[in-house]
Amino acid sequence: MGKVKSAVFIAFYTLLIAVLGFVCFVSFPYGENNLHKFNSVLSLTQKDADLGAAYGSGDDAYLGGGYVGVYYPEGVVSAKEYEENLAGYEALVASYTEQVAAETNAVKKAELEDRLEKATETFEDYKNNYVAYGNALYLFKGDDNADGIVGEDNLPSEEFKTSFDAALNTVVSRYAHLRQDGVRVDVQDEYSIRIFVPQEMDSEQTALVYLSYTGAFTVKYGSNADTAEQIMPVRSSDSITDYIKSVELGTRSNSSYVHIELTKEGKKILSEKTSGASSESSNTIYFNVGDQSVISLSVTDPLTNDFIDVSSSAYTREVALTVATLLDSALGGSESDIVFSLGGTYVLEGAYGNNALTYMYIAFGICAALMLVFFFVRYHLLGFVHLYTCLLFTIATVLCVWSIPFLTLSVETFTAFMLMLGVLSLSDAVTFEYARKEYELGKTIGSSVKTGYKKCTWHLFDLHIVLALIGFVGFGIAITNITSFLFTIGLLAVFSGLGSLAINRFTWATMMALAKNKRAFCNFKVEESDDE
Amino acid sequence: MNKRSINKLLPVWLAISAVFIIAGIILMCLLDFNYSAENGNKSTVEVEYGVITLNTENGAEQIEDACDKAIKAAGVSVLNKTRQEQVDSSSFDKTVPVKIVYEIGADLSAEKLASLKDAVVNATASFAENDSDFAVTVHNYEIQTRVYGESYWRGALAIGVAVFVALVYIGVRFGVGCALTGLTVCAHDAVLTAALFAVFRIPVYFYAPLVYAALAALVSVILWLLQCMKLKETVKNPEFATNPADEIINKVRRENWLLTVCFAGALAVVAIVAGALATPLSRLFFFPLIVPVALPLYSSLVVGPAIHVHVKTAFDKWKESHGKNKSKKKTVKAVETES
Repeated sequence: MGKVKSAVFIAFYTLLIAVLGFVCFVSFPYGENNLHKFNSVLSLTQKDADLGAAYGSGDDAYLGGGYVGVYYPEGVVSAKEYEENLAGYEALVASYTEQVAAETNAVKKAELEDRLEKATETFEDYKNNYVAYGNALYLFKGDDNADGIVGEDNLPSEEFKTSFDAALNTVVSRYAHLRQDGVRVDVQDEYSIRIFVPQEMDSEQTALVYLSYTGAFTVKYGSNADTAEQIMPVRSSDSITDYIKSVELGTRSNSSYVHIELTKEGKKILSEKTSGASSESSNTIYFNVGDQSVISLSVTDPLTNDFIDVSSSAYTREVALTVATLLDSALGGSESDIVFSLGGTYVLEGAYGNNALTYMYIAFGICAALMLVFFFVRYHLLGFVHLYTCLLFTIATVLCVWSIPFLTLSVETFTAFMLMLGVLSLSDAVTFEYARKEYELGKTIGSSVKTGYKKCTWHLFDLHIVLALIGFVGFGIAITNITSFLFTIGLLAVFSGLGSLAINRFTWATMMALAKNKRAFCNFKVEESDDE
Repeated sequence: MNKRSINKLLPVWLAISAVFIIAGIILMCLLDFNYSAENGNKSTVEVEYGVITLNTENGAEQIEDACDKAIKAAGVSVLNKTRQEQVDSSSFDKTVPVKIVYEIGADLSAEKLASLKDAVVNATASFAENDSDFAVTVHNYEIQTRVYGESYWRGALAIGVAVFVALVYIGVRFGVGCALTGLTVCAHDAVLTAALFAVFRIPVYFYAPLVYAALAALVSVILWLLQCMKLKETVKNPEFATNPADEIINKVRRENWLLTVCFAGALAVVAIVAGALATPLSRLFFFPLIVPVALPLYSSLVVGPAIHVHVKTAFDKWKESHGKNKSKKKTVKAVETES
């Protein structure tokens, strides 16, 4: 390539990298009083909630982390709630006592005394009906431990323990079925369940609320929820599984829906009951779990298929999956299941701390600086060739993470990026070293580069193809964030291979064409022979 | 080091591996892995405060400072400290109270936890008087690892299948011998990694031994690939093509050790950096990654080459006896012509 062509190409290449780099990494305010903001691709990239980074831009930005909610079984209250309630009843008793003492009117005094008596009774009942368990819970024991959840010894009854274990299994399997990275389920103080859902989910709230529903799965049909007739199960001796086979997530043309598969009996009942449905009848079919309505489906035509697909504008993939997971697991539910109530919900900062993303950028900066120092010291101006390849590699990575829907900026993708940046640097160093060895044998620079590349091309090809195979094959099998790690490895192995074998070589040839002293440009030296 | 020592010491390397593997199997049968990390059980001390404290200048900082001192005075080490804000259950808008959550190990008895609570209550008594939302609570947690268990075993399976595919590629590119040695080394590293976790009682999550074993196989196949590349290059060189297998492999090992160490070192650095960035529980996963990196390094420098001397010798003999060693013949011819 001639010098003029090389100069034009390098100028164009530099401009391209500068523009792409600007678009990818620089955010700035503009307009009158900085009302508007230009957001870089990196700032718009979805980030893993664990990193504690601001996601999105403007007013919608939030710090990562997630929400924590606690499911308390019926009959179990937190010590805090118990103490607050008790203090409330006690304060009411104290207030009435003061009022009775101060009241002079006999009629009013008698009325107040009556209220005081009731308040005292409520206070005593509440106080006596609960028993402390551990440091943080109170359990309902009822009168003489008869209708509570504890036995004679004031410890949880065997029946309650069994029910709680079953309910815990249900909750755990529901959250496991979401296959959402970062979700955690912990047993808190033995008899309550603490849930953590990451903010990067679309519908944390739906998951927290819906997945706490327990009880029997029933289907009702009618003009309103209160008067609707239960159509499944028809008889108390039947199970809902006699009518519904399964409930699962369905997707079609980028939209998600809940797919309810009916048995023959289910199809028969449903077509019978909805035979009179029309757009004027305004009847609704209700899918309930316990006392909670999960789906209300307006029926305008008779339902004659052996399945029902329920879609809604509110059904993102995640919401539809949550609803399907709840209904499918509720197929095994019964009226005697423990009922949960959702306690206070808290927002929690990122698992890696609020500055994790900053630390990651710093780690990248330090590694990149060390890498460049090595290349510029060992290869002088040839370091620019590697620098340009690395910049292009980094920009391509950011654009891919931003544009590929299932990739987020997370510890996994960052680790994969750092590993593959290392592989790219290693590959570039290998090509430079092969050329250097050839030059030491007395060949010309051009010939050394050509022969060096020829000798190491297959090595680099093998390394990259194996990494790409590992990445893509693993991606096809793994789930959650491990997929993003493996996919990024596979994708960046392709980029790294192209970078070191094609782009790096082309840039080297172009840049070297501009150099007056090619040997000095590459910092290649000829070994001095002892004979001389 | 003696040029031929690598081959001669193979029984020693295998004996060492066998001892650890047998010990590991026995311990796995008797005691299983050390799943103390799996429980990940922890306790927390939670201090809540409301609007009054938030509106008091430095109120929150003073409470945090008092709690820090009280917990430190009780001789309890804090694993992690987080700040949590209550949100409205329906809108998820932030509200009060705000919580400071101190995570501590689960090794405190209920009595000690109660006395720790009392110490924190006493230290913050002056704040509690004014703030109706003020509360100190203690909790115990038991992690349900089944929630993410599937991602663990499927991750291990994914890596295992990917390693197998990579070995098939090595077989195609570098010969069946290299693939067989690679397979042996991968299996050796995977099993030995699991055994080391059992022998040294390294705390792990439920599916972690499987994941570490798969990762060991993954690192092993990449490091073995580096050796295969150098081996092929060396065999192609007319100067060495006619040399016995052990000489060639020793030369490859000597020339390639720096690259192999650098590669494994880079992986170890990534594991350490990730561990340093992570939370205490995640750290339990990242730091032990050193084992599935260090072990394949040892194998690729010592066990793999030693095994491959035998494999290559056997394959070379077989090829010669079946007249299939064309490349070697070509090289010998080239050497003879040159001489």
